[in-house]
Amino acid sequence: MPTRLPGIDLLRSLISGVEKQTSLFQGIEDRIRALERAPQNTVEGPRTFQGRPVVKVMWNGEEVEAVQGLVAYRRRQERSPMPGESAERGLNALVLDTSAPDELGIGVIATDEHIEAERATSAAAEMGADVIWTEPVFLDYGTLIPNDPFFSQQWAFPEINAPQGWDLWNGDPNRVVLAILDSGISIESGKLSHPDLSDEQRIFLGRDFVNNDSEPKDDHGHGTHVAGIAGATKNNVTGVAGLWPGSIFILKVFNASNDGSNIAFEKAVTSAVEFASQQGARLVINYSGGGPDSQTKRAAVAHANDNGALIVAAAGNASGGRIIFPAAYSIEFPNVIAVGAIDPQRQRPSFASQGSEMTVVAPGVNILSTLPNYFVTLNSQGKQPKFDRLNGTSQAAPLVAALGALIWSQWPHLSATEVRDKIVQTAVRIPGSDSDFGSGIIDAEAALM
Amino acid sequence: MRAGDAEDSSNEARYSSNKLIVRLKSEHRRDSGALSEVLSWLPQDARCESEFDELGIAVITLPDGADPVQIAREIEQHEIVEYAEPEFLDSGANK
Repeated sequence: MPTRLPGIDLLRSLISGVEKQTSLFQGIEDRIRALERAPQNTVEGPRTFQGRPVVKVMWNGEEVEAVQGLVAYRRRQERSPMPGESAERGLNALVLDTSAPDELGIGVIATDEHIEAERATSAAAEMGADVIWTEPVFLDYGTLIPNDPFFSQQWAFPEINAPQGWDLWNGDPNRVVLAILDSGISIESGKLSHPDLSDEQRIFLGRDFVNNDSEPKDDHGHGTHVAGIAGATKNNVTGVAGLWPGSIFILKVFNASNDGSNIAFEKAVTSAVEFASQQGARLVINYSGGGPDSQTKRAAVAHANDNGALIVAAAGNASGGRIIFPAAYSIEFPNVIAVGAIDPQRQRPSFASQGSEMTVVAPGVNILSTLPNYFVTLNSQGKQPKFDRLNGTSQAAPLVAALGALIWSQWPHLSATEVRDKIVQTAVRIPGSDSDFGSGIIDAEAALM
Repeated sequence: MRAGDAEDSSNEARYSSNKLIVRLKSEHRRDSGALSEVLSWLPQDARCESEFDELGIAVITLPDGADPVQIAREIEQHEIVEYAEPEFLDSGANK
């Protein structure tokens, strides 16, 4: 999947009018495409755009971000550029590439990237009397608002600054597997059947540990809802958007009554670890459920920890009661995140559990997401097929798990503990008890910056 | 999955009434005769549902009327066993 680079539309618009005129423009376009396909910023370090450093410059008295070594210029239009003439006159040996001006007289000069933006811009201004202005290529940010028709009803995404986070994210979605251990996913005739969860290139079906087969078909609805929050296809003009656009591995551990067990959890964790290892990918496990402490559950969490996997688990809906396991292992194991819920007023909903093990919170009330196309248990409880709203820490956890996957795909060298720390340290504090909110509400923009 | 109820020290825990989970100590996980040995301690109709996996954990199906909590306590007295416990039940966390 091509990466969307910030400011790319601006650069394309600059060269679009004349891209056929010179091979130079085709070369620039080719480079843009290559950069879009290539993993971006796979190691933490200075930000780059088109492989060039992004630097802060003072421009008209303001500090702005610009691409080092790129200068935009505008010539007077009554003068046609002469064949072979380039803008490098004033830049001498600094110039690497020059685009002829477009119909507005605007072009771009590429200099050695080590030349400061101010110096290159200043030099470019000396190109000749027909140059009207020069300026650095400023970095623009577009806020990606998905075209999914129900996106405006997904209040959780603006609440956690997801659109701003998507703008910043330029990771490789194939570097991370998000395993969802739940009641399965919408499947009919052996195939993914929900229009928002049908991408077989990134949604992989694992075991059904309830019926002991290889078709994790959802007969409750909970799993499809959780999967949609985490990873419904975004920008497909259909239904809802999911937070994570990368690989998802579905494992069924909850039955039609939405019950699972410690041994199903252990089997699924072991399976997810093996799958991610085969893929050569990092692993985030989402478990929107839980129950009592168990040595088997503890062994599974330790196994995940030993293999570098992050576990994100719902804190539970005990109406102010204790946090359930495995979420409550968050103090004992550095790879576990306990997720609580908040409502649109950033209050703890009355159903949510609380306790000192709480790590962070995310929206968990009135959450719109996907449900199977066919009749499942939740439909007998009044929920509509295909799309409906649910409440619970179950709905909050996949937002955190998906954010963990986004972070890890951006910075794959991080450990599970470091991903957890990034989520925690960038969370926004909510006034009140840490037992209710932990370190606060997750912030996708801050976490991916 | 049949559910029973039991009290642990903190919360009420639900568990399957006919399942027992056994984990071997690490030094015994490669013992080829370990499963037979474990089954020999159990009621005659107990059978293995899943053999010891890579974490050294096996699931045993118990006959009707057996008490997995009591059997787990007894099994844990054996030298090769790290722990034994019932199949505790979890639930999805939606309201």
